[in-house]
Amino acid sequence: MTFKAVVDKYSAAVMNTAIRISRDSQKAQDVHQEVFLEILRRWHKYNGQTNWGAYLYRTTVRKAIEMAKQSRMEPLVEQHEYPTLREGPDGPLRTAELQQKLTVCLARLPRRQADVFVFARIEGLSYAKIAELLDCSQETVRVHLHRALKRLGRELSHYL
Amino acid sequence: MSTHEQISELLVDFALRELSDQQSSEVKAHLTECQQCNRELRRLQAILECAANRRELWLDEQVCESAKEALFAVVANRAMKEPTPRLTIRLESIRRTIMKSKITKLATAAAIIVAALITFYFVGNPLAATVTFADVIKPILKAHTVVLDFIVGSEETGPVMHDIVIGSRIRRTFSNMDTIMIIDLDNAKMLTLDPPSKGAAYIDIQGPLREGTKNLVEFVRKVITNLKDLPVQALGQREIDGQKAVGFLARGHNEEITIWADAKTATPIRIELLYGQTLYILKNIEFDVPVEESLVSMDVPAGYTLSDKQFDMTQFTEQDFITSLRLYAEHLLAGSFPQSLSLEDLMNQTPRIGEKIGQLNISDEEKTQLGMTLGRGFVFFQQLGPNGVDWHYAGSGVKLGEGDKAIFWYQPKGSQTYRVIYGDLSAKDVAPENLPK
Repeated sequence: MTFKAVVDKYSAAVMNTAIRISRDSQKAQDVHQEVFLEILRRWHKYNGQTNWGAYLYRTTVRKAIEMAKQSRMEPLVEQHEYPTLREGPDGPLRTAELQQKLTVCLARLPRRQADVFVFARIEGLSYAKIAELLDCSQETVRVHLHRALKRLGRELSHYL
Repeated sequence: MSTHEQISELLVDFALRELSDQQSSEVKAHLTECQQCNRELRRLQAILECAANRRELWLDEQVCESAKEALFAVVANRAMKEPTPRLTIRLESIRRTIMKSKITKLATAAAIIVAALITFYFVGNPLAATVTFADVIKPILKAHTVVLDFIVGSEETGPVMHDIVIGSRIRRTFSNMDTIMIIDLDNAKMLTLDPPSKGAAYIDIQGPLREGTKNLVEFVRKVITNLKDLPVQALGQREIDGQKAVGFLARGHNEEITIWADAKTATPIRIELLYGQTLYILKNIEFDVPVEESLVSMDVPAGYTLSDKQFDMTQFTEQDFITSLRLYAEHLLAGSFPQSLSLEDLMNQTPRIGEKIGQLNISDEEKTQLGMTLGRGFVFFQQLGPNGVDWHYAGSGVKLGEGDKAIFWYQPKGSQTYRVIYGDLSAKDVAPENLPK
């Protein structure tokens, strides 16, 4: 498969995964570019057996989280309209604001926990599929997800 | 443990709908009377709801398309950059500065030679034919004998090697050391000669090392064969070493080759191959010139003494690599680890480290072993990338002994964990999520 063919086939998927993590189309484009340029730089390291779908899925999630970590202090550029959450114990919190906080906290999670949370709860993948993507057992996926949610709950307790 | 504490422990699983019916009923019953657990559960559910909302985010096709176009524009822009003018250095002046000191006969020759065995691994792609630059590449593809100089990395600082290629045999000499290397690719064997000490040794390069050891000319041919049917950019005319030359640039996914050829005869004068992040410059090229076959003879020349040492390069381990890092830090870099593990740096530094090993107050046998270990360490490192192993070097600025700082990590084939090497050169298995940030 040529580099161009890889881009043609997976470009949209990379963009859509990136937007769900960054929630900003410009940042999604940055992730998209970084992911494919990295592949181009390392092109000689790949062999004909590369599963591009899985590889790009993992790489995009990782890159988007890393970029969220780098830019977490920046103000939110885009606000998407979501229904307002039901009122929390400490007052109402608009979903857009919570979404921003979630991205920040997601970027602080240990790497594997963040990956699993994104695949399971943002991308909506099954444990079996995640285990296959991350080359681990379903039980490991379950444990990481459990820890991720517990930690996110703790981190976001000031806002919810 | 109270009921509240027990239920509290189950809330995450309850929110994730991972509890049995019985456990769920117990949690629900508790929630009717516990405000604290209610608040906690609502937090968790709010987070999950937020995450699930993102599944609805899709970008417009046009946005995706423009991202793709922007990417290709960046790729094209990087590739179309004009070759940077480089300082021309006459080989004679470089050879005058060749390091004259002896490097303890053949004790460290193995390491030096392995450093010079550039491991070319090529991933090519069949490409559709459009334009060719056949006249220029014909001599490169057809010649039986090629004599050339080649430089790894910058022309100002990279070591210069002189190759005489006759079929599958190569005689290689170096600008920065005295060693002569004769390689028989067909039989995966090398004869190394150390003129100052009149020492000679055979080195077996069977196994993985053989796979990665290629004739540079053959490698260039392979790149050209894969690129020759791509659109080629004409670079116009330029004077190179006093000759009027015309240039062509062909670009693949991971390789870019620029060929400057005599404007009248179309014979290549200079070839610049950018492969991955490493630049190889081939110059002073002569095709099918008469060359004395004895120059690539695998027989030990008269006056040389053949070493009875076994130079085995077929096995290499992480420990060899660790020892190599120690040798660099202890004997060459005043207790620091190298700034990078680039091929150019390694090739430049290897003769100096060989010299340092030669000065150690240890037996010749021990020096030989250290030299061999250094060589095997290189092989271990060089084969990682081509074998698809994910690795990262972070040793720049780290001092030997700093056990809290990771300097290198890689994921062995088939392993779910990484091997991490620290500044005190200890190594351990680390789960991916615990890798240094």
